[in-house]
Amino acid sequence: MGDNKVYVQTLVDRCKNGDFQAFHDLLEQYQSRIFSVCYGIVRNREDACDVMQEVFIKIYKSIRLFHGESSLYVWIYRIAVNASLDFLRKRKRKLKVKEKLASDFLLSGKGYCALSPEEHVVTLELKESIRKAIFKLAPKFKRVIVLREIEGLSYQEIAKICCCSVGTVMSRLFYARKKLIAMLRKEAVFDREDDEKK
Amino acid sequence: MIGKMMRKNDLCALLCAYYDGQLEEEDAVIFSEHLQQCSACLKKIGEFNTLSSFLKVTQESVSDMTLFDTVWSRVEKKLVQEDLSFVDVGSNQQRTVLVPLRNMLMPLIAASFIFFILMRPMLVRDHKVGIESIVLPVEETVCVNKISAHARTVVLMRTQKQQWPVIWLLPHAEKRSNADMPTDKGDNYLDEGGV
Repeated sequence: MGDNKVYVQTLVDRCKNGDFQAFHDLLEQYQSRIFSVCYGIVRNREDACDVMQEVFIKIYKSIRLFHGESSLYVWIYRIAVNASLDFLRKRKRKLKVKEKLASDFLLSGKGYCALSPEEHVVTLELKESIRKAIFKLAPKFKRVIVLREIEGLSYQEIAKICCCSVGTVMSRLFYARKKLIAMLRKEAVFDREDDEKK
Repeated sequence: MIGKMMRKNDLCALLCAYYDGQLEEEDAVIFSEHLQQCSACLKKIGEFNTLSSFLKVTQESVSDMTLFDTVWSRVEKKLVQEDLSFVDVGSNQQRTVLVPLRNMLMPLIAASFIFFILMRPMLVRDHKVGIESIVLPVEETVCVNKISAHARTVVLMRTQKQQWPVIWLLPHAEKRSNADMPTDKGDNYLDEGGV
């Protein structure tokens, strides 16, 4: 862990000196986290790739302005979250989600072999419902729910990324969860799971 | 901490913190005892669990480097198109400093203008060392603007009869009688009820 920190710091220093290969290696270290955050917010694989591209370019343009006031991953997360929210704000388009999700899911190769057709359809419905629900959340709630639920960051880390206090993170998380549950319940997705478990 | 935070809103925040394992050990123990008695909070924890599982199941992750390579090649092309290099990032840095300054210029000018308008009386006062307005009880309406200085007193007088302002200088803290006032009506008319 310590060695990795030193390695990353070396990469950052080399990036600041104009080493393009170092920039590539740095992004390689963080690419899965960046994608995770972007997908968590935009909930579409192709859009997440577009946002990821924007995030890479923003990091490239501003790496020289990073002076270590916060940790590198906090800085990168902040860029990724803001870029994802900006993307959603600019592109309020309605996808033909079911087809999109189906192709995404098949391309990812994750569930195609593992799920039965019925499970496949249910998962697609669930994805669509969650995408809609997260889309409806206000940006400040989107941030905290994705950083906590998807990335598993601590409250202190989330507070640093969102530039707010830990108390604010707590209350926003509660509100975001409550809102998501209510919306999923409205889509008749939430309680169906409970019924199946019974 | 929990003892003080048992109001409803605080309880909700604590519920989240307990669920996420972010409470301190003592508080977590107290809260878990609370859960044994509160079915509503327990139900909420169950709902949070379900929501978490939904979010994780529907989350996608990068399973291999293909996606990164695809995005990276797009980024490279765009950077070449925009003709950006690390050399240029330095000038971008200058621009990133100058552009915010330029954007702040108009608001700064407007703020300075407003400040000057508001502070003008004080500035003028400083220049002329103080201005005060007093109304004397005279037959005619007399408005006396007295500027008291450290060394001199400047009295600006205006009467209804005379259309021109009357100004003369008085020594500091000295009052002069009307008799002392110049008699030239054109320049130094002073009403009887003057200073």
